[in-house]
Amino acid sequence: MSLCQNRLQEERKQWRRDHPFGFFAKPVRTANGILDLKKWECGVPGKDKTLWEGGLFKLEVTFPDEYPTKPPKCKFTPPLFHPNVYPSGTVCLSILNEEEGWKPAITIKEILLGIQSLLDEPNPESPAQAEAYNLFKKDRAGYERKVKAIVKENPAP
Amino acid sequence: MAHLAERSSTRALEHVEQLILRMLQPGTPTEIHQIDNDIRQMQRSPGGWEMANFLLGRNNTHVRYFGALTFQIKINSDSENLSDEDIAMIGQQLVTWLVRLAENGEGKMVLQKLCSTLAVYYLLQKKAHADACVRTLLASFATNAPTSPKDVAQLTSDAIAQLITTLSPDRLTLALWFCRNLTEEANKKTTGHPPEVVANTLSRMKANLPDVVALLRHCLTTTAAETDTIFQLRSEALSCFLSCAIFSQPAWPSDQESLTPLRSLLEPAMVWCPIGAPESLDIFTDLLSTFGAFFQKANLEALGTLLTSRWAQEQLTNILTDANEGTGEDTPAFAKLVLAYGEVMMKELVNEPDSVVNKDLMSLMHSFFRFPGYAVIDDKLIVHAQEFWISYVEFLVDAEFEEEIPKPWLASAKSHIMQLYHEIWTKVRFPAQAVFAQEDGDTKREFRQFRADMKELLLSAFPTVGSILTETIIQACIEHLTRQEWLEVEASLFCLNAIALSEHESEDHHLASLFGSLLYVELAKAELGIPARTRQTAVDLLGQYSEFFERHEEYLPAALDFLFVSLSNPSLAQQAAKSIFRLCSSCRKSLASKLANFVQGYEQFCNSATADRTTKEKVIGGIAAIVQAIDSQEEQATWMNTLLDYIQHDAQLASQRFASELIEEGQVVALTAMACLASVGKASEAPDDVPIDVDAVRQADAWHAGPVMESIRSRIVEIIQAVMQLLANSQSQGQSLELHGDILETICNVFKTGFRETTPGPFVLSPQVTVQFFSTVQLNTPRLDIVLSMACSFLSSHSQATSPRIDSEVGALLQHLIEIIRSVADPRSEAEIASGLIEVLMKFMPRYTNVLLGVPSQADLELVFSFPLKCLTIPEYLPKRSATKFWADFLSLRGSPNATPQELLDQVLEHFGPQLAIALMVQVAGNAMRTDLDWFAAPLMILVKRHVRAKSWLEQALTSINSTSTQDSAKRMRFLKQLSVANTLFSTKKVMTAFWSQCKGLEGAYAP
Repeated sequence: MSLCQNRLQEERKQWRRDHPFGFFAKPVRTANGILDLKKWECGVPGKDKTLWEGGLFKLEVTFPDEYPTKPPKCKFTPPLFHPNVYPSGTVCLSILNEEEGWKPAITIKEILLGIQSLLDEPNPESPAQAEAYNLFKKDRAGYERKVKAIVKENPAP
Repeated sequence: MAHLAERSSTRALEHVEQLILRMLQPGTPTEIHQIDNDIRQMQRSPGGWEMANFLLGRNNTHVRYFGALTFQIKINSDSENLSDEDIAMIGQQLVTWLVRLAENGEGKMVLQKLCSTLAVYYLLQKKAHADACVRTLLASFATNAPTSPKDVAQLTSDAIAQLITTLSPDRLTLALWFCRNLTEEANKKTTGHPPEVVANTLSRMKANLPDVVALLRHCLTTTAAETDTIFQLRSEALSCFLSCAIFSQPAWPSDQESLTPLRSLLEPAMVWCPIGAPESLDIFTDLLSTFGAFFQKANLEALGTLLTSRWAQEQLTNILTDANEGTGEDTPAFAKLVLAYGEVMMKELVNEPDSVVNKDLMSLMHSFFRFPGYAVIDDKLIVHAQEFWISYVEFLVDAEFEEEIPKPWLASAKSHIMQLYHEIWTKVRFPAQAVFAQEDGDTKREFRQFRADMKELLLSAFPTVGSILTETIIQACIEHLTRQEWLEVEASLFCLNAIALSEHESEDHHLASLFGSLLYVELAKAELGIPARTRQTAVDLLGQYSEFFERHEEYLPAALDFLFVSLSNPSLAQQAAKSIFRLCSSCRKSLASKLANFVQGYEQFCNSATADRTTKEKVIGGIAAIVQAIDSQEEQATWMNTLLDYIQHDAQLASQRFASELIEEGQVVALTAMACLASVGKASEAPDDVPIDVDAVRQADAWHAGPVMESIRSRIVEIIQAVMQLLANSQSQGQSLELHGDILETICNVFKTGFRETTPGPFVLSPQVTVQFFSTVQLNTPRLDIVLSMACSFLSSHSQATSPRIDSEVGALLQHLIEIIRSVADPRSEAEIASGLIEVLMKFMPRYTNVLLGVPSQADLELVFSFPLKCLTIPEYLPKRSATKFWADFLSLRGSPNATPQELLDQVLEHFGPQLAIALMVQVAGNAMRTDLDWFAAPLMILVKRHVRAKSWLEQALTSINSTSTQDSAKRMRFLKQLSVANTLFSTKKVMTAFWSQCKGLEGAYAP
């Protein structure tokens, strides 16, 4: 098995053994039941005592063949209203950037926790979508209303 | 011995003792902190060694503890500077103290500290005779005096074993403490340390391993009478054994020479499992879950036999009794051991289901899911047991689908899953609301999480068992439904939701029996007192199974009636509205006969407290979708008017609220009205999957241009204008509305629905309306970026080849756009807006280039071009990139005699060309960021080819830039030559990047 596959098997085991409350993460299966280890379905809950509390946001995490040398790509499905999420849904986060903060030792758990923190702590230095970014910068109350509506649309179980 | 010889006066040492004693007395935090500081200082001073010896000789245990602690601190901080003799002497002192104090009956606290200090000492990166440290200590205990490592070096293993038998349980315990500390200390030194430290540590541990094993073997196999002391000794031996085994995993992963002796201890260790304290079971659990490969086949078999023995049965009975009486621990040690064992044996459990042991084990695993009480609330064990089952299902599914080999075990696995399903069904059931409400928040959350995990498990397991699971769930559900057992119905619906069959057409006949039952008819009856939870899951189910209803629309009416009833319930409203929207939109064709009911349902719902923006827009949008699918245009118009009545009512209500100074409420109502209008507009768009009937479109033209349609459009415009008036009034009164931006955004959404339409439906409004709306916004208008993006869509929708020209409206829009541009004092501080403004300018090209170039005043024309010119040079990347695109578009324009003659285009270019050349060259000559540089390739490449004077503009521009590369005429000419031959974007980028690197002095760094 390749390094990538090995590592992902291990990640899967680790996740099962220990994962943060309210999150989920698992490799997808194709229609005929074959497991695709390089594509995971994940869910990140909003942190307690933040605007995002009570929401659960679904992500598709895709691992390249070069993983863990290269980082996975994390994409909210459907795309999320957030200053650091591209209109395609892809998350813009330093630890997911090969040239910035990615290190092969970063686990799926750390990635998802990082994304959870990003929800309530957007990084205005790297805007990824105009809509959420402009609102965040110029009309904070409007931004917060919109986030609340999104949480309502995506309730945690 | 310089360091050790530092003398402190006896008085000073007695003072330290006094300080220690004082610190043990109650005192203020400041005082304690001060004393603590003083003691630390003395510990760290050169006299610390002497102090440690002094304190260990005093007659108070706490003081002696500080003595041992001081040794440890000194070893950690000062050992670097000690000579080999000093080091040897410290070791001798420590062993002396350990032997002497043990002999004097010293307590556990001090002895343990001395053991850990000694362990730290032996792992110093010094020549410390540590290779024989265990046997040195054992021999010292045997002789009651410190023994020199040289004396024991030659002892045979038999001699050591013999020596161990002479030690008392107390000394053996001390030796075990030491070995455990040594292993834990060594563990720390093998991660994150330089390779030589790791190698040194591993070699010391390996040298001592035979002695440790001999010690452990003796303690684990002792035949001494079963007393508390022996019981304790064995527990210590087991803990020490665990440390060694865990250490061996990273240390000697495949070194059989080291692993085999350690493994040989498993068997004697296991003998104590049934006799020992629960902790001894925990030790095996830990070892199984951290280093399963430590166990070999024979060990695992022995463990399996033990876990299915009579003893195991007794354990299970005890746990069950405890659970029934509510006295047991959350997770009994026995259960944890079985579960950990199960994880290690997963493959065997799945592949060899017929072995007696495996059968018994699986039966144990099932029994962990059948404990009394509600999951999480009463039954905590299930949280651990579920991990095993989740792994089991994952393993099973992996094995089933990934290997092309016969799977004789599959039948048995399926039967386990079906049994598990019944167990899960019982456990996901909610307690009665009154009971559940009393639980604390964490328990409630954990219970929900447990359900969520079970949902995942069922989803994964479904492909393996298939239809039989669907059938079982549905049959049970219908039975409980007939008996009106609502929480049981909920559990069944929850499981059905979990397996998410919507896409599996093969399951439709099972689903039909449920959705064709009285389920939703009964659920809609308020008088039955059905728990909200059951209805909530039923609402979720409709969200999950919408694809089924799309295939079987005959079951839809009952479900939708139920959803409309649910709208007034706060916990159901959001989800119900969402499902109504989804189901009505996708099944619009079949629901026409229900329109009257639904409209009535909507009216009732509007009066309930749950009718807010999000719910209303979805419900009315759903209804509008049905209206869109009606064949008769007259009927369609009638229903559309009815829907507009509701929206108009909201708009009027908003005006009244504003008039009564209820501004907060007025805004919300106005926003709701606009959101509903946008939603109706969106739903009125023809679905993508419907084929367009060309004849119908032609016929429709007369209708769409007719008076009925016109009157609907006017109503829509009136509603929008009424709301805009409210905004304008507030603005003129200097009032800033909190929802101003939200309202503008939704109005833009209304317009956008019209732009997307191919046939002129009710939302295809006259262009003047949009332009008029646009003319009300200013630079400081909230969400101006959204309005600008709407303006882009407006221009695009009117730029189709077939759409009629609207030069005058577009001209008016441009005039207002220019006003906004003029009010931008500094594009850097309005970067996003600046970029949006340029995007709108770009949309005029090519269709309305004549309007863009035909602005009435020279000043306006100057602004239209100088603004994107300026934006090329600022560092903010959004406007910068938009500006490069603007220029690329402009330079690509071709003249046409009717609209914009080539001469006019050339004139404009000749006017701005030199400035454009400077702006581009300044960026390319090293001022642009590397990440922005590529954007300049397109305008540059087109410019070079576009005008005969382009090259001279560029050359002049380069000459005016103060850089060594631009001032060097050879380099300059080379660059220009390369540019003029570069024919593709790729080659232009290459040339540009090389020049940019040269200008930045990075030559070569970015060269391709």
